[in-house]
Amino acid sequence: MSRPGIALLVAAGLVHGCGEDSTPAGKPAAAPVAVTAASAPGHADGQKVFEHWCLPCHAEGPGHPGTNRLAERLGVENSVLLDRENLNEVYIQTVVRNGFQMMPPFRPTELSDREVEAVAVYVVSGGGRKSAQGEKL
Amino acid sequence: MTTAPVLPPDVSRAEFDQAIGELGEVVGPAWVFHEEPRLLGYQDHFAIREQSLRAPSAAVAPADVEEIQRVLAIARNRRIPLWVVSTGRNLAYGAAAPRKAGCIVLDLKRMNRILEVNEKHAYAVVEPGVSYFDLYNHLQKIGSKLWIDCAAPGWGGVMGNLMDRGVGYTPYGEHFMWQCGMQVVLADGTVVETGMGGQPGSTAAHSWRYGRGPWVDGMFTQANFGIATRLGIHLMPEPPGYRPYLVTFPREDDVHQVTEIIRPLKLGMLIPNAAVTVELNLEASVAVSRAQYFSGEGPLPDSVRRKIMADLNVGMWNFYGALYGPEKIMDNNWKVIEESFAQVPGARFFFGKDRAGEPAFGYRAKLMRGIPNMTEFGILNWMPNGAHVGFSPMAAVDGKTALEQYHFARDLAHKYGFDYTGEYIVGWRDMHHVFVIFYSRDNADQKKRVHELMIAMIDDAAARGYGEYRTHLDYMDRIAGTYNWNNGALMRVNQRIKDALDPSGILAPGKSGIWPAAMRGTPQP
Repeated sequence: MSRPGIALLVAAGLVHGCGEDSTPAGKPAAAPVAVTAASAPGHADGQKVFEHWCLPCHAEGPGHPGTNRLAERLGVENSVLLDRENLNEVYIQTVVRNGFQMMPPFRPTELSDREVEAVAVYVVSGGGRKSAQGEKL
Repeated sequence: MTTAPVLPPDVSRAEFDQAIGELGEVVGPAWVFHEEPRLLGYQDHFAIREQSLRAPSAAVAPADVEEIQRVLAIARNRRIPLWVVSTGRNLAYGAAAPRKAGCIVLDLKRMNRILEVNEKHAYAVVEPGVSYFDLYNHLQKIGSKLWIDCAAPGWGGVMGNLMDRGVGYTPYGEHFMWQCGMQVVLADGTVVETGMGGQPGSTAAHSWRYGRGPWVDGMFTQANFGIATRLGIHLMPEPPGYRPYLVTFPREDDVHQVTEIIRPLKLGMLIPNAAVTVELNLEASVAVSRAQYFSGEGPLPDSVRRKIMADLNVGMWNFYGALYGPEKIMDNNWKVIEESFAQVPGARFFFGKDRAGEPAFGYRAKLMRGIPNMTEFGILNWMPNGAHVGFSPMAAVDGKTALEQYHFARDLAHKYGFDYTGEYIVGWRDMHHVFVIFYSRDNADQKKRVHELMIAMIDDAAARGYGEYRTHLDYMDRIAGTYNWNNGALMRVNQRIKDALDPSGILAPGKSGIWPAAMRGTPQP
């Protein structure tokens, strides 16, 4: 099918049932961007990734699988990811891409390299509560 | 030159390299993955057998239908099979890994648009990459009064789960029942709109699913006849009231009487949602680990199970349901439900205020009103370095059947040294019996026994007249082989459809045991 054909098809799809009661939404995912191609990812980027992808498993309190696992392995005092003192960015990036124990790897279509870097910086900073050197602010 | 450790079947390195280049021209080189580290997310992280048996040669991630069509043309031309995934997050059944090693994974995660939310007619139209979290967050953002129905882990895909005929826990829990309108790309690149969508400008494409003539949507579920690229999903309007509850039962064999009680309550719609009857071990696994109670090998001793039951204040079986509607209706329905379950000696009744802060009740209460979360993924904490695989036979809502399935699954699990950790998810006239077998990823002996247990259960179930509704990559052929009435007439019709729609055999070879002609007759590892 040609490009115009596809355009018509998509348009027709959006027409189905769409009207004043409908809310079209969404946007295509961003391409994975090499970090060198843009400014370094910021705190807000890392926070956004963390809250969407990490927090459901790594939030504080019961009912969070990652927190429970870390409590079992390392003790309750080391179970909340943002409170950990001994993590570095390379380790975080490796775990996200390779997986670790029950945590599966995340594909480049789920998290771009830039997003992985951003979340690693965010986690090591304790969600912004520590300086880059790990010292609590 | 590429360095992928696995190549597509009967394709040389040079041909593969050329294909990778061509795919890069279609989607952009950044969206073709062939280096080993980039393919880790396309492996079966919980592999029971050798991970290499399900290793892809590459992955390609198109952004739209046109790119899919161009990828298909390359696959046809070079005879390279594609394995299609959307969010690829069902880790109990193989995640994003292909059934046959060497396939290129067609990863649709980038197609993640929520194309429409229709508040008046209560539906949404989504692409394959939309997760439950995505759709839920979007509805919250726009102030919608529509609920979603989600599978237990919220990172799952709205389309992927539905296309694999998964279930959730609200009254819309039978996901495929609520599908309405589907866009499918066939292996030759033809794009099809099903149902009313076959009529240009249709105003009911997502309101009436059947259109006219043969209704083909079901043919594309759990199948390899086409690539679903968009679908309509009906959403439940927020009811005026919601009241989740838990009823616990103290004895293992109570599942018989409990199920007999459930059947008329379901058929009479007093229990409107896909409620669950959860066995003790699975119930406990979101709150505690096995190691906290027992350090030995083999299934938990009965004394330990009774200690867990007392500590967590739960039952040997635990029924989670919910009331929906105006307060007076919920009050009246509850009287009937309470009186019915009270016939079981020792039954106890709980609402949210009684279970505040408890993870099991908390996440079940969220699921039964369509709030996605990840709590159930925590069942993997039952074992260190935990992994799981599902054994999922169907059952009628019948006490004798429920008890027999429980007994045979439990006894076989114990024979192979595992705990029984399962639940019955109750549909209208059916129950999805899901036995989640836990094992440690790094324990080769356990994985060997899991494999033997799965085979024993599949064969035993078939001999008793039970069939599975869904399975892991490793068991697709074996389970397909149990649906063998009239010399396998069902598989033969599937193969005829496969040959007609995908004569090149490029789409998901081996999905649900359906292989293209060139790969039939030879056992596939």
